[in-house]
Amino acid sequence: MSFNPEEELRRLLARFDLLAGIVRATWYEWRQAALEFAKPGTKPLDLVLRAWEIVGHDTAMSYFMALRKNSPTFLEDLGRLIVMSSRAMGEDAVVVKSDKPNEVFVQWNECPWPEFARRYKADMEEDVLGCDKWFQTVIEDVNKHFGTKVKLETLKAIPRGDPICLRRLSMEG
Amino acid sequence: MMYSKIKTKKGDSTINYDELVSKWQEQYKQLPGSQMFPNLFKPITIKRVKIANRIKYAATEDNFNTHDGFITDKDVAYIRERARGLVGGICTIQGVYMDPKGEGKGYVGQAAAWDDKFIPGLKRLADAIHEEGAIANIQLMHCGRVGGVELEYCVGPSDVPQRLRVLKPVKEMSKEEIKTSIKEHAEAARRGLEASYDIIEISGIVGYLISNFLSSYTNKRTDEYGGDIENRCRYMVEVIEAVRDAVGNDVPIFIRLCAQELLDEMGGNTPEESMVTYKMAEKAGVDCISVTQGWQESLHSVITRDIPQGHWLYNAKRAKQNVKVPISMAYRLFKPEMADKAVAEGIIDIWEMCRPLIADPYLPKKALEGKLEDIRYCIACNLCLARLFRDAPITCAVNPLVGHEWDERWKIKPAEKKKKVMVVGGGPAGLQCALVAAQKGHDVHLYEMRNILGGQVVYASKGPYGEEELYGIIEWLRRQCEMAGVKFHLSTYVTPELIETEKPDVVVIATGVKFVVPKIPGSELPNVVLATDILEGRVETGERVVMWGGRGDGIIAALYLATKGKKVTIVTKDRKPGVDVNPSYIWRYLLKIGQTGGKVYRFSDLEAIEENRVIVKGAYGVRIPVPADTVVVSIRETRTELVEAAKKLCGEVHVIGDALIPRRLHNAIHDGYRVGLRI
Repeated sequence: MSFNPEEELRRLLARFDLLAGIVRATWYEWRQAALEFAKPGTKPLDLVLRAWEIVGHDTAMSYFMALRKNSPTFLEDLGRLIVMSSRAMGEDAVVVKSDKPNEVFVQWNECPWPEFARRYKADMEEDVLGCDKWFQTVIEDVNKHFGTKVKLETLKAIPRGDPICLRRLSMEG
Repeated sequence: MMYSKIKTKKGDSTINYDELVSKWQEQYKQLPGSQMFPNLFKPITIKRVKIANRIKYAATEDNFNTHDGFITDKDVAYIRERARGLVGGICTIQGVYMDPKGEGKGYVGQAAAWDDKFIPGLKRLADAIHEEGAIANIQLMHCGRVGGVELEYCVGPSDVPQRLRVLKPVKEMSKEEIKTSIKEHAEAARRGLEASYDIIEISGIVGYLISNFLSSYTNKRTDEYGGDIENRCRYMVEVIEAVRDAVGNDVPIFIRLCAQELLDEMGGNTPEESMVTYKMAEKAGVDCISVTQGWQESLHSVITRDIPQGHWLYNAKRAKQNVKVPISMAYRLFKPEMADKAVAEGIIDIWEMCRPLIADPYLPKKALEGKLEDIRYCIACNLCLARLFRDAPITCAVNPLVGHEWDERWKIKPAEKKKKVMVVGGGPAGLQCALVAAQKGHDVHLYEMRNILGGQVVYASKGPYGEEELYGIIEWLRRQCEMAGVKFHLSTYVTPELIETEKPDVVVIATGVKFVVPKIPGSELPNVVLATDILEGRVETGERVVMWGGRGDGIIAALYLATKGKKVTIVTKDRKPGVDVNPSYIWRYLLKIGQTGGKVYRFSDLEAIEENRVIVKGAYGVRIPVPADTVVVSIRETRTELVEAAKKLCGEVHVIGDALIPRRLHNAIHDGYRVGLRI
């Protein structure tokens, strides 16, 4: 049977792009609906941070199955999982190894989320803090689950005008 | 078994154990099992309780009780049946939850003991056990991080996030809540005694509250209830001490404790730390320890068929080396021969069973009577567990009566009119139907076109991870059918002419399924074979195999090929492969298929087959070329060509099992039983 594999992949990518766009749009549409129903005085940031916290707990649960406490590459494995989650959401991210032990970086070169934030008139800082809340929740849950002391710091953020997002993962002990 | 009661030193009424044991021992002497299994049928004394034999029914959640914790007739009948089969052994009721909020409640139909209002119901169970001459054991079970089944949260020593999505988020217990929980154990134990139980058992296993405190995985506390293993034992010790205070010195207290958590990936206890928990429990005053292994959250097989029978006895040996109190054990220890040997060798003192006595409550009785061929062994399908985790009452694939013990309509009674019954098909549905019909007194003839009985089980039992155990139920059905007078006609294909010649009163169509190759471009190529060809060793495949169809049959064939090192790509229309396979099994099956490079395309189908590849029509309507030397087809459809002809020739026709709708083993057996009753 003859068919054009490139055409098939293009079709898949087009539908995947469309789906990813719908996911991002839905996020902001739900945010808008939730704010309309929220108690008077509810700050959008509080609502958004709580939502990302819920996402973070869910993401962490999916990481538990993929991590092994005694693995020598625990921190790097965690970084790779964050990259995987980010790529699945349409972002372009990589793990950058450090010269120091117990340290890795995750670097985002492209991110479509700020564009959607702009489109739905959400604050750019909300985008940064939402992302932070997501990953910090993941790290907190991972630490509780595995008894580790992993720390995550945001060093650069595209929504703040930086060319990339950069987060440092480090581990005590 | 008659028994009488005596007064204890404390003045309460209890069974005259000496008299009870001596009555049982008199009976044992007259039966061959006491010679065959002398170690199982010898008495044991634990505190004030004397037990006639070394057999114990382990606590089994069944979801038979009301959602507010009251005991039902269904549960009483279920327990009575187990107690009867124990011929004087220990019958444990399901673990009871002990708090009014239901934080400790792990199963929707779990019995409660948080108030005196539950005592009458609990007493009904104890009375049923005693009426059958068995010893009544009540288990206290706070489910901890497996609890809160009807709440939005559960509780534990620390709020360590769950691995399993089915479980609730954990709320860390305050010290006050810990003290309350200890008190609740003591109160429930007191209620157990008031309800006439002989033994009080504490559950500390598989992820329930006590095990949560014991484990370094789930206990991150920095107060006196956390930290080193001695501190992590504090909660358990205080529970034991409180229960002891509540029940007095002469009542036996048992505890179930994990000897090996199998939680290394999450930083759980070492096996050595687990033995410290045993020693601490003994020091705190328990009289018997039940050895278990694994948690619900652990990533390792514990009770599935890939674990050989008797595998875990090494943990009982370790327990024996560390404590002096009697040791009991269940977990893949199904055969009386093996259990008797383990008692003889001093590895265990009491043989526990849970699933084997769901499958056959009369297992101990049959062993005592020397009727080993009659024992219907559990096939470790874990249907019972899968049902529990879906908040449904347990059922058993091989024992259709489970949960219906109370219901007269489910009992086999002599038929009012003897009929000639033709059962077409010797798979599990046909065999079970033939057995029930014959036991009712009908003249039953079973026809099978092949020279082997078992239908799809023949293929399923070819799986590489202990699946030969599955065939045990076919052998049992065959033996029972023979004893009931079923006449077998193997290698006989039933035609309308044969029905016309035999003139049966009833025809039961249990012809099962046939595997079919859907017509697509290339489906006639020589590299397209059936899953049955693979499992019967009739054909060899190339290195790259595409399994077309991802239901149970395809999964077993894929596993079979994966163990031969083949790279198997499963293409299934379903949302996931093995959607019909028990959750206890499918995840490890897929893991093993993946280890040899296996892949899965879900929401997908084959569009074309070529010599060295297939075209998969995947999700989003995308075509994907997948390399394939061989295409194995595991798509099946019902075999019903005889139905219409049979209806014309016979006044009573039933279609059962896969011939009705292709399903699983338990559906086939239950269909067979129900229709057998109706004939």
